[in-house]
Amino acid sequence: MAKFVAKIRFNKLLFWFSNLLIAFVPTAHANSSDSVFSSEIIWLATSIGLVFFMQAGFALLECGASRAKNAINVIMKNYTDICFGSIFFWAIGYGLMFGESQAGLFGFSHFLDDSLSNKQTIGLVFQLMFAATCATIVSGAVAERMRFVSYMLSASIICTLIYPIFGHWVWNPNGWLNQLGFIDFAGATVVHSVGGWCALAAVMVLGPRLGRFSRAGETRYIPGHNLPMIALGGFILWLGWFGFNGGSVTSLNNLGGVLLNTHLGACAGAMGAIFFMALTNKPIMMTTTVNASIGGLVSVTAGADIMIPGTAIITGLISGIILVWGTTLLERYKIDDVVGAVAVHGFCGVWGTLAAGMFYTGDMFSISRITIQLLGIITAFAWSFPTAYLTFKTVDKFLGLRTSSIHEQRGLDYAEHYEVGYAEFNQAVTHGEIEK
Amino acid sequence: MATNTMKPLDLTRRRCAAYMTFSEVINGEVLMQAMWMLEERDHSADKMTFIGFFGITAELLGLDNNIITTLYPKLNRNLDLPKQSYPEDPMPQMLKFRGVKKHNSANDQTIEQVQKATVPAKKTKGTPEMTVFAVLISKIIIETKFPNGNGYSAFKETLKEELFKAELSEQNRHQILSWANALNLKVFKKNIVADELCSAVHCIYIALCEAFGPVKADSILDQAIQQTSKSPAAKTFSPRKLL
Repeated sequence: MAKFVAKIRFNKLLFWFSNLLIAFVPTAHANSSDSVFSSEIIWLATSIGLVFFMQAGFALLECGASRAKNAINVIMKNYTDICFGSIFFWAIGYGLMFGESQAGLFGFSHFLDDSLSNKQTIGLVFQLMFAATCATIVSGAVAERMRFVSYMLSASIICTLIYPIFGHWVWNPNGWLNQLGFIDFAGATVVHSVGGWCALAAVMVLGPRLGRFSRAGETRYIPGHNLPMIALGGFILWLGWFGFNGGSVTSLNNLGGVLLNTHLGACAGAMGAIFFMALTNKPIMMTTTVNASIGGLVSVTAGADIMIPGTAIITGLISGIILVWGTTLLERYKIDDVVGAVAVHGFCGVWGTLAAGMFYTGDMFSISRITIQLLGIITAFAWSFPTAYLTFKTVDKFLGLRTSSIHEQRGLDYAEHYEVGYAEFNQAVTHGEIEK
Repeated sequence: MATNTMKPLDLTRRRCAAYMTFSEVINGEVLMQAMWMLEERDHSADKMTFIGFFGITAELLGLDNNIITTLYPKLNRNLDLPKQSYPEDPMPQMLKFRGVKKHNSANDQTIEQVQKATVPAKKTKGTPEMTVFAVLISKIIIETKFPNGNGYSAFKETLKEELFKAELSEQNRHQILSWANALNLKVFKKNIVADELCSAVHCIYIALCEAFGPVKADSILDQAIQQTSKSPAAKTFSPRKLL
């Protein structure tokens, strides 16, 4: 009897597995367009999950890079920006980005749309994850000193307005940059540079954390409270990036190359940073290495579909160097970016977008393509930085952007959420008596 | 054999060691003044705390930072010397300086009685929060002296600036500013309410951040809070309420 049940179970398993194979091997069913369509949908849905998981990566990385007294606040910002951002992007952002184009400048349809087809809806959810990623880049840069409410409002504005408008120019078929031939495969500029420039605007409006730079000009290193958490966050982001880039393919025939380039870019980013740190006699730091691999991922994002593995590695290697240099540059100008978001997403995004023009397989170093890429890069900065700066300044004026210094002393966990990340230890320095 | 760093120091030992160390750089009335300033400090202080007192005293006397830095290891060594290596207890000289004649050097209890009669009482009758505040800021100042005195002037300057900006009544601002100038707890003649004490502690924290960086500032505040929590006054008013 037991053998019979086992046989039935085995047959069921075989049937399920064969169906799965059919779904994932489009070439085996080239005649059936529905099957190919299904496999693309399934892959896109899987990618949504992977990109969503990147939020966990960001949360861990940013939390680990902050002091223990701000751990909960960082997690809360990451947890809730996707909640607020998603609703606003669905309601307004998606229409501005992918709605009917108005002179290539912005879309104007699909607002609060509940009549999209299944394929369009999955595309919307995928784009929704991208919007949330763009907003969450800011949270790491502004950690430990930005008010929670102000952050949520700013993140919502990024998801509703700043990101979708630029996204329309590049990814809407009628967007003006798209029409010019600007290449940004999965959003090195659209998502990452825009997020990076928003982060730059935010940290410039906010100012550095208490004591980060002395009046005499000394730069103080503020270590995160849990460095292994940073590494875990880095690994999760790396994993999620397979969905971020992989989900952006128009045909599954390109998937292998895109995934390979994505992976090699990350490896080369870390390698480039390690070589650069060693050659310049800097300590080979884990935090910088993790950031560099993410920088590598950002940089190959622009051209993962049009690069060969060799050029993806070159792109990654250079992004590792840019990351180390960029972090030092920001410190020199007394810009306090807790996780290095500006260097990782802003600077590496710029380089990756340029590299996509330079290393376009079959037409390398085309001056006209590089010029268009440069135009896109400059436009991204010219749009996102001033609008974000204005947004943060306005929020600062009406709501207050920066938390009070007493809250900074106590830690934002206690001051903003009335919870502490690690209740069993180290309360004395950061928190008053918790008396509910 | 090294002394137990957590144990309260023997009064004669600490007097003799400080006298030996100070007499290398100062003498006469200044030396006596320094000895009395040290004598008035907490009698239950352990070794590290006493070295902290020594540093503050040296700074208040206007000694150069480089000289003070060279005195620390000497004092540390002198505190560990066997009793027979010490010169005669300097207390009779100190009392003579203060104009007190009766003294029995063999009996520190007598000395303490004399001190009580001649030295203004250190512990003023204050509210529990005022007492805790006084203990807390003493501990913070002691912490800032280690491992060296770098950043001390930046600390004082920032503290003064922050106190000017803080929401304090003018009278209390004046008291706390006087403390910041002299780092002497005796300036607190009137009690300050807990809210204002909390503001003052916050000003101290900002000054610590400026002088030593936020990591060290957190560490100093943490140590000071933990030490203050062990004081008797902390039983009636938790020092954490001042954060």
